[in-house]
Amino acid sequence: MADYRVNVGKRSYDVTIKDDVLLVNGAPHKIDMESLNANGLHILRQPTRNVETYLESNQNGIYDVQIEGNHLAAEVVFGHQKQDNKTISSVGKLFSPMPGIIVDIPVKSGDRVKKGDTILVQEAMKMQMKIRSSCSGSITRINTATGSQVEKGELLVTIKPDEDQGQEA
Amino acid sequence: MKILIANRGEIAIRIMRTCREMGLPTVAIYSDVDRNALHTRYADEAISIGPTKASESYLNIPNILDAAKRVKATAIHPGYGFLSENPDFGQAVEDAGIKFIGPKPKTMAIFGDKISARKAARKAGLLVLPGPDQPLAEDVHITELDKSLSYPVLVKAASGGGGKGIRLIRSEEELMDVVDLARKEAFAAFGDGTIYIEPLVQRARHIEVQILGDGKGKILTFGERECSIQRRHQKLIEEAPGPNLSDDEKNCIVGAARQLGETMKYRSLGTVEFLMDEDHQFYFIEVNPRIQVEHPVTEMITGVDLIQEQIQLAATGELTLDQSDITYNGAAIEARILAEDPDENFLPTTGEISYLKEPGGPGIRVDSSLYQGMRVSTDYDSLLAKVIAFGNDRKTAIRRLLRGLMEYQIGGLKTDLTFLTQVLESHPYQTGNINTTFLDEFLPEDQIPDESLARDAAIAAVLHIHNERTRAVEDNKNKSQWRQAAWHEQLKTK
Repeated sequence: MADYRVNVGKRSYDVTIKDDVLLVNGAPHKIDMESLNANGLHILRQPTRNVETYLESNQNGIYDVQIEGNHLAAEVVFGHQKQDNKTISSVGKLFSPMPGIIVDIPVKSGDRVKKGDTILVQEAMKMQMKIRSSCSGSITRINTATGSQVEKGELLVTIKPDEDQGQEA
Repeated sequence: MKILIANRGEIAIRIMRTCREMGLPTVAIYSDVDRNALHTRYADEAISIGPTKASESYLNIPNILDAAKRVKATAIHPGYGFLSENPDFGQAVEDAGIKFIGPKPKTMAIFGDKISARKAARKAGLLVLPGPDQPLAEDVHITELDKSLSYPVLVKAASGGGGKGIRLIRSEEELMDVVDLARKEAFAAFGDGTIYIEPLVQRARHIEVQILGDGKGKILTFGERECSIQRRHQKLIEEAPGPNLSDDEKNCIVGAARQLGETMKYRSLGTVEFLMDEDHQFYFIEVNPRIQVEHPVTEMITGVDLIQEQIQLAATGELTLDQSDITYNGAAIEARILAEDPDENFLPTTGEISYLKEPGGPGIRVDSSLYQGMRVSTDYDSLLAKVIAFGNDRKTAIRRLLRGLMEYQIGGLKTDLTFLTQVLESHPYQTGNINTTFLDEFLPEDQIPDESLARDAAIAAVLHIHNERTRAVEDNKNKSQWRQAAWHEQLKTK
């Protein structure tokens, strides 16, 4: 399962891919995409529509999507979660330190963890690296899965810190 | 006749296409950076003429003449820009015993100097913008020169042309500063610091007339073109016929162009440019003694291949058409595809063309220099391609051009495609209510794409990332299997 938020102009879409089902803002869409030339040209196939798209990504992780003569800028936010201003601090948030594959997640949502516990194991360049909890608390959300490819800086796990030790962590 | 085309880009290919239809062999010339360019592949022969810098290649008269002699070319077509308006080039070509497909060098010299062009037009009886037909002297106030002039005025380079080397002076306070700057700019750009003054015609329209002369006094006219959609005096969208003009007005302007051509015994293709003020009064501004970028709109509504007539004339000295053969049908509009970013004040853009799909279908003509893999640099002009649409009337032509621009897909480089669409869709353009300041005041509406397109774009971006990751994971699995197999192999050997 993977969650994304995509901003296109002033519009935002929450896209979830779970197994073979694609949800846009919670509604399922029958849609798949095939690369035609490994060079950005794709066909977006829907039950009654074939849409040609040409995708280019720029340095800032924003895609320029050419679609029916329009150039649309699509900004993809990884592992999106709805966040309010109170939880904007990075305490309790575990980010991917490098691009790689998540090979193990020895915890599950709701588990209590202590500071220093191993939360994820990531592999890159044939090296395995443990990602440890930065605080004591409970796991509130896991945004990745065993076997997933992740980018540097991606939010992987959110931990709700215990009240008494908040900022000290 | 074996024709060397002393140019590059879309116009070189456009000329070669006609040569091929006429069964005439062609020679392309290229600079270092252009060694793989489309025009070098289209030509029957291609020959290197020097480094990337234009002054050492496309502007290098000895190198070009040397190339022409080496391949035994019997004629040279200069295209537009580069050496096309340089009388020394025309003369050098003819002195080398090679046919110059263009005006007589002495005609080019007269029109190359915008001050002598004004004098020639005045002498031929044309209405010329007021102002002194002499260079602006140092330390002089306009009011002392001519009482009929008032601010704002334009200061222009006498050796300029094609909209280059023009500056606006709004008040007397600005006068000396701008004049100084203009003089320096003119010298840097054209090697000649001579400048002159013309009044600024407010809300003027730019209208021009295509002519073809046999050099002995016979002139064919091919009607007018409207080219008011300009940025920094550079045309962006052109059309024929001119919208919202009466037959009398058309006859008047075409007649004036003919009169000038006949008086000069003009040879080859040329364009006589006019400004039309708000009272629909026409004033001569200059002559472009060469083929123009926007010539296809005239070809579309007359059905005449102007390059073919020009080559035919150069070969035989005779025109094959009479004025009565030239008839007009429908409307045509051209849009220039530029390597410029409208969101960044039209700064030049560079990049490698990663994807290209050009428009086609009924009534669409594409004159392009693009190919997939092409590296667009800032070494030369920013013009990449032109899309020209023909329709039975102006409305149809606009719809068709919009359709053509929608089909045009260029990856890897930012262009003005979206901006062109916005101009064509605007109410003033659609009603033909345009003038040369249109683009200064034009603010494109915020693009609000269809909700379904925005959603599709979002899905496409996500699926792209998702597919990439899935593939990466698969690759990694396969790699692990290989690693395991290798491990087992090692165990066996131990």
